[in-house]
Amino acid sequence: MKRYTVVNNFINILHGNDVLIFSGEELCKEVYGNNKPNYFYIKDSIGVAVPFGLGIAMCTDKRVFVFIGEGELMRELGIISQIGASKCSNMFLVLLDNGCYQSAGGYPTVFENMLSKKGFIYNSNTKVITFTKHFNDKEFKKLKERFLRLVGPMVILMDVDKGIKKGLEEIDVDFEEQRDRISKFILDSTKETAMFVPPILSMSDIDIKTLNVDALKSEVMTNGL
Amino acid sequence: MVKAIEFWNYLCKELDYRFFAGVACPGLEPLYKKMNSKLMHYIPAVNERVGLGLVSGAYMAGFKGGLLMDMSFAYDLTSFITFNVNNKIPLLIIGYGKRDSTLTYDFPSEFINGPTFDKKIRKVATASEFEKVPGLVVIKEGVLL
Repeated sequence: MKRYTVVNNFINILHGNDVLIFSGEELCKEVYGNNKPNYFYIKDSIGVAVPFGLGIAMCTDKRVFVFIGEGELMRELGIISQIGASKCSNMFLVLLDNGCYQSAGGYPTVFENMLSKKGFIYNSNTKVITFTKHFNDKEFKKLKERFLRLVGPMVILMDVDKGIKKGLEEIDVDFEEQRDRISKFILDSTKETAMFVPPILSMSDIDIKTLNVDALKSEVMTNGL
Repeated sequence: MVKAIEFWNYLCKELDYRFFAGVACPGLEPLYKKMNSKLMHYIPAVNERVGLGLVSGAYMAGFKGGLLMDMSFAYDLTSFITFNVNNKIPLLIIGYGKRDSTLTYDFPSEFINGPTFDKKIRKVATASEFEKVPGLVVIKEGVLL
């Protein structure tokens, strides 16, 4: 399937409160038509998107999905180890593998030469799931429930066809406005994330004097633990 | 001379910088040794660009941050911080090296060579935060204790 179709199908199965970062001009254009407050576009600055996303993931409980091509990963191979070492359960790297540097004429990347792409990612202590290019939109929809429970750090490796969708709208974002928009979205804790788990109170936080022990006992007797 | 413990106390308690990333630099050893996990969070990065990304991301989530690095990278500092300049994301670069104190950049920078480090850091940090650009403080060789 074309990258345009795969990326847009994939975005549809994510939670509305996830932070999505896109790197590369062509990729940004492919999602810009459906622009939302939780999107952040990095048109140039190759190699910054993933650490930028990881920095966000380290400081929030929202899930962060960073979309890059495999050519960009080759520029910053060490970032896979950095993701694995971070142990951030809300960090997800969506690696769109079309086997070439599309925007530079389509010559092949060295990623294709790896003996095992999955093995390379596993060795960095990062989980990995793969999608072949034959995965269609119906199959994506079936995954929606499972994707809301994904635990990272994880690399989602997607095989996509070569080629860029043509005739797309140019990106017209004010950098300052985009910065404020994503920052406001991240800091807005009123929306629960897909991974939100209510905090468990430690014993010191519970005021024993206000506990009605008899009521608790009778509740346990009737309902069980 | 600048005591590392005073440096961190000033940066974290007075200026509220809490998130740091960086690459190993022998000259900054006193700073690594006096890091206090109650005051700050430090991430060893695989390289300078990754460190820059981490600190910039943390800023988006509400944490002011700094990047520790060797200034031998400084020859390309202007292009190194393009992402932050374009997106107007401030961060404090804490460098170490022999940098010529007369060398100027088009963003806030100071050269620390003595006990007045607090005023210089405050000046850079305030300007960086106000203008939403990276700020640079370079610690001279042999000044850190």
